[in-house]
Amino acid sequence: MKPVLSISDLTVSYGHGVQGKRTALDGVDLEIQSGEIFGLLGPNGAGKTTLIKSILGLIEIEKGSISIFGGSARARKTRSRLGYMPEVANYYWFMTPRETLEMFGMLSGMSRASLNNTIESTLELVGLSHEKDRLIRTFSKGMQDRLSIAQALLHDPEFLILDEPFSGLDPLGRIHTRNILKKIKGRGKTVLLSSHELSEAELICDTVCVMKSAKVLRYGPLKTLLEEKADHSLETYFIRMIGDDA
Amino acid sequence: MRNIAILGKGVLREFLRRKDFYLIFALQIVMILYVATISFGGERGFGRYFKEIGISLAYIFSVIIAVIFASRQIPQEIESKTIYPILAHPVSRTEFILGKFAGVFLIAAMSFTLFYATFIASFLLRGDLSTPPLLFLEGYVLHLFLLSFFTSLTILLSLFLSTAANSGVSLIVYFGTNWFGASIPGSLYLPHPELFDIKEKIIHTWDIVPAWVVLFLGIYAALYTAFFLVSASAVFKRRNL
Repeated sequence: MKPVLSISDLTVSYGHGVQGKRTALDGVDLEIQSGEIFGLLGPNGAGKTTLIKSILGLIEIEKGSISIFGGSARARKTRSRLGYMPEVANYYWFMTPRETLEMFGMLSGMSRASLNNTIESTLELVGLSHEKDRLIRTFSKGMQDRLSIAQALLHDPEFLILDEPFSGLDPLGRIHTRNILKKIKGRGKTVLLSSHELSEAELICDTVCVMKSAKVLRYGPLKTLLEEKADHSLETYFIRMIGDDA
Repeated sequence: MRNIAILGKGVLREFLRRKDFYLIFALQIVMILYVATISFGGERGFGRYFKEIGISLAYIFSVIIAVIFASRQIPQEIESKTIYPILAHPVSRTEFILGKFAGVFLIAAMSFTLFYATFIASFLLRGDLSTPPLLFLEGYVLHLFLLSFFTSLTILLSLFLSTAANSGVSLIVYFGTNWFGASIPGSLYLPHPELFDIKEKIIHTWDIVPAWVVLFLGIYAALYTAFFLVSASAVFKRRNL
C-alpha cells in the first residue's frame, strides 16, 4: 500500500548572504501510513513547524522530495484532500464561525448546498454550535482553537496536519481535542500532529518521530520504540533520545 | 475564479465591519454641507468652487481607501498568520493576490460611487444643470481606472514595504503625479496616473473626452494593473511564509 506521505532527503535552509544560512531541515526521510496518528516530537527549533510548512508548500525546499497520496504536495487535487490546523489559531476577527467555515468550505471546493449541514455538524463536534453567529474577535484562545480544528475537519479531509493541537488548552480542552482525534482515527483518517505534550502524544499516537536540530533522530511505532530501550513512558524515551544525541 | 471571488468577498466583509469607511463618508458629507454654506465669488464662481471641492473629496477619499486597504491586506495576513490555513487549501498564491485586488478594488469603487453620487446629487440640488451628464460619467469611469492602477500598485509595494511606508509612498505617487506628472524629467517612461484625472474639464465644463481616448486610457490602466499584479504574483510565489 502506498504511504499517505512520503518525504525523501528533505533539506530546507533559511537566510543567505551576511545573515548566514541556517539549515532548518537536514536530509529528512519519513513515511506516514494510511490510518495512523503520527506524532512529530522535538524540542523548540527542532524543525517540526518547518517540516509541516514544507509539506503544505508554504516554504521552498532546497533539496529532496515530498509526495502526498503519491502526487505532488503542491497540486490542487492533493491539497483538497488535506486539512490543516496551524499552531497559532488566528482567524478573521470580523467574521463569525459560520462565515469562516463557509469561506473555508468553499475554498475547499464544497458546494453551498452541502455546506449548510456540514457547518452545523462540524460546529456541533467542536462545541461551538451556540457561538456560530458571534464575531470571532470576542472569542477566547480555546474557542479559536476549536474553530481551527473545525476548519481543518470541515471538508472531511483524508489527511489531517495539526501543528501543536494541545498547546495552551486547559485539561478539558485537551480531553475534548483528544476525543475528536480518536473519532477522526475511527473514521480511518490519517493524522500528522506536532506536539510538545508528550503525555498526550503517548495517549493518542500510533507512530512517533523524534526530531532534534533539523534532523530526524528516530521514528517508528510507539510500542516498538518504547520496547527497544525498555522505557516506561514516551517522556523517558524522549529525554533519553534527546540526551543521547546531545 | 471562484477562489478569487471568495477572497474578495472577505475583503468586502472586513470593509463593511470596520468603521473607517463610515467615518470617511460622514466627513465627506460634513465637508460638502459646509462648502455649500459658503458664499464665494458670486453664483458662477461658487458653482466652480463647489465642483472642485466636491470632486476632489470624492477622488482623494476613494484613493485613500484603496491605498489604506491595499497596503495592509497581505502584510496583515502574514503577521496575524491568517494566511496559513487559506494557502493550505487548494488556493494558489496568484488567486490570493487577485482575490485581494478584486476585494480592494470593489470597496474603493463602491466608496467612490457613493462619494461621487453624493457630490453630483448635492450639485444638482442646487439647480445647476450646466455640466453635461456624459462629462460626469467620463470623470467617474476614468477615476475607476485610476483606482485599479493604485490598488494594484499598492498591493505590489506591500510585498516590499511596511503598511505605513507603503501608504505614504502610494499617496506621494498619487499626489506627486497629479501635480508634477507631466514635468518630471524623463516622464515619458514613467506611468502617468494623472491622465485619468479630468477634474479641470468638469469644473470648467469643457468638452467631453473623445470615446477613443477613454478607450485608450482603459487599455493603459489595464496594462499597468496587469503588470503590477503579475509582478506581485511572481514575487509572492517565491516568498517563504
